[in-house]
Amino acid sequence: MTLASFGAGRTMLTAVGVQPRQYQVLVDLFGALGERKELLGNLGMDRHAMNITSLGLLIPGGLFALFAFREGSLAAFNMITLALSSLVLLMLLVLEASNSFLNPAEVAVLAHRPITGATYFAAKLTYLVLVVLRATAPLNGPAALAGLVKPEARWFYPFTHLAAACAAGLFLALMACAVLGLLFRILPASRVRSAALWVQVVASMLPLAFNLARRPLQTLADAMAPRAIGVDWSFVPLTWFNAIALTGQGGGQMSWGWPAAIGMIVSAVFIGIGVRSLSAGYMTRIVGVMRSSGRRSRRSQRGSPIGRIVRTMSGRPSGQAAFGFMSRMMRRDWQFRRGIIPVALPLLAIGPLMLRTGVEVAPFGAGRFSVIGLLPVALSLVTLGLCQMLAYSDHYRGAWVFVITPKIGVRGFVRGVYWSLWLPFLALPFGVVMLVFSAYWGVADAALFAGYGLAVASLMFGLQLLIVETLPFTSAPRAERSAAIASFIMFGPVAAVIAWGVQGQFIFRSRLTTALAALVFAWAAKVTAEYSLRLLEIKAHHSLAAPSEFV
Amino acid sequence: MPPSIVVENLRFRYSSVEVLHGLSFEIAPGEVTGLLGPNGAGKSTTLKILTGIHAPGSGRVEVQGFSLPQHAVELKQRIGYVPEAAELYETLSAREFLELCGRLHDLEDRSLLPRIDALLEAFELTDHGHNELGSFSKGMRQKVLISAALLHNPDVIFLDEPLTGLDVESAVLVKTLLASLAAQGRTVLYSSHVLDVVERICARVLIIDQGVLIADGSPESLKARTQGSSLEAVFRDLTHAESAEPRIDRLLKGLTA
Repeated sequence: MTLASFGAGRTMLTAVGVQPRQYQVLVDLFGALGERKELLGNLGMDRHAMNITSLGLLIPGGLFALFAFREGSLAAFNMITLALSSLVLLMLLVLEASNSFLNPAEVAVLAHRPITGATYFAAKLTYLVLVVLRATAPLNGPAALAGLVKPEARWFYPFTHLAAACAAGLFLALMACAVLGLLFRILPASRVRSAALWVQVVASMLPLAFNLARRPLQTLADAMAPRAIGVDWSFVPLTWFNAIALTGQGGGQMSWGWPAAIGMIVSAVFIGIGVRSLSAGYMTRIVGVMRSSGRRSRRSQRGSPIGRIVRTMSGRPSGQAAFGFMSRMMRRDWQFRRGIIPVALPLLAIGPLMLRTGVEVAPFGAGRFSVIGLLPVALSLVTLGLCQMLAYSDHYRGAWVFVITPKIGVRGFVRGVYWSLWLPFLALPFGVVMLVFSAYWGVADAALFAGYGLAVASLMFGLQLLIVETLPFTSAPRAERSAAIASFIMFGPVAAVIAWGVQGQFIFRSRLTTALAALVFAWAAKVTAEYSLRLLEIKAHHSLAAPSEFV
Repeated sequence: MPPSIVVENLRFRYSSVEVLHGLSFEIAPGEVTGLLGPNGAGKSTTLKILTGIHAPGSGRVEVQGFSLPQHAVELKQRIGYVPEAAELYETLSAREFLELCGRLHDLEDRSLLPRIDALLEAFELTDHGHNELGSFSKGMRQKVLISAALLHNPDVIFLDEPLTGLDVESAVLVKTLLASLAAQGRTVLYSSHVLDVVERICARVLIIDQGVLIADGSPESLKARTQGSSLEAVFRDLTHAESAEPRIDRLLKGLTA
């Protein structure tokens, strides 16, 4: 059931320029395409992916609930849990809004139909709201119940808490759309998709920013701890939703002053302008966005030294072809870029932090849990992200070229793919690490750490190649990937910390154990990579033989 | 009677490359006009602007009295368009896709469903109506696109290589249908590389090259002007096409290098 299903809803839609019948047709269409896995990367339209994501969100939701057992007022507890859940939701919504409004396939089909931008926007927003509702329950449900342990909480606190969380989610969804709308308005068509990608990167780095902003947030929470929210803070949107959650609870109520009014007016104007920028003339402008291409390098891969190294290591010209293909597609394929950049960049961004903290002393020795030890794990997470997304592309129909490639060519190509990823993503970073740390730890310790790290990361990379379904960029994107990416973002850091702990406790306790482990891991990496590449070759032959994929 | 299509000094660019350099022409209602030009001449771009998919860079564009891009949505209600690439929702059936298109054009089911039946029958797709479009051959997909373009009885029909992949019988059907629609007063703008078809069904031909209109007239008048024996000869003459032989010589030398 949608707004177009009842009279008042239809009147409301018409009042904002939405054509109710078309709106209903589009909502039904997106729903059908989502269920049939044709609309990609949209959680709201894919019930299965959304179910998995909701289940995954129960984990952070449960962790947020633990704050209820710390000292502090109900207001402070609610503020912290709302802030944390909003952070997670914002990451999800920026990704979802970006996928929803910059999807190439459906635009090509609908561009010449008489659909107003407002109608299309309303239909898409419906699914964004669905994501908000489906994500809010697991993210905030545990905290809403746990809040009852606070003495100020009344029996209906869970309901007000959830209402506040839903309102915050809707606010964030509109904000995400407004940001995209402003990109549409300000930037030339050829820059919009790249800019949207950077917005996703910023959103995915918010947990880092949140970590850095812990102190101001604590100040905000403390300001509310003894009594109701002070007027001075009420321009912050979070305080409005906090006030909703505290409705009817003990401990005082928020007093609304002029800062709140100014905050609301500014937010409303921002959302109004942004949403209007996105929806007005959307159907015409989005075609321009999809059609436009950024600047292209005219540099030939013939002269690339890495390409020549890959040619040598893979033993065939098709290996060099793989390098050329990979390096171009990784830069240009929208599906790949939008998947990998928000995952890989935050991980790569913490690299310099690790280098800074690890400078003083080598990580070897009992009980020495140096942050630099996270580097092999972080790079393994980057390669895991790469392997998760490598096979999928909007340009998968071009895969027919591999059907007519001889077997020996595919073999060289597969090996070329391996070295094209191994060299820049593993060998190069550890080479830099060795150079940098030689000056601080001495050449032996730096080489031991770099060798160990490279062996571990190579072993992980060899194992991760098992999840690559076929040759890179030759398969249609799958909707399930959204759930996989969401779980990756949520569980990746937890797995990394566990691996880091095990490594610090058992391997880095002495240089000897580290060297032995490095040798074992290097041998295992070689065996695993050979097995994975043989398997990938077979999988490629099987998948390319399936004509429906690209013919 | 006012012209159905007016294009005046139309310019358009993709990123930094201008592909249309001041194109101007008018098409009268009920006229079947062929749009010809070599690859990359700007034919498909022109059609996309006329159908409201792209906004014109500059210049004046009016179709059925609707100026573009301001009235793109209203115009789209009145036109049919067969795009160059058969973009379809692969998981929808042919019938579901046509229902979608009809409803987006605000057709009520009581008129929409019989039209779908008639179109599927005309294109011999009745038995495949419930099959997913992903399983359709190129020609069958093209038939669905043509059906979707005709479903709402448009005043103007834009066709970009509409006969691609069609079998002989269906191609004859489409050509005859276009002539009948023109006789009813509908305007048809037909872009194609198949020159003999254009020659046979179009009363007027526009030839564009590198974003500029280089010829406009009936096939006969163009033939007389260039002393060509066929539209192909006219086309080659006007677009200064190099003869194939020297190019093939160079190619064969390159391949054996």
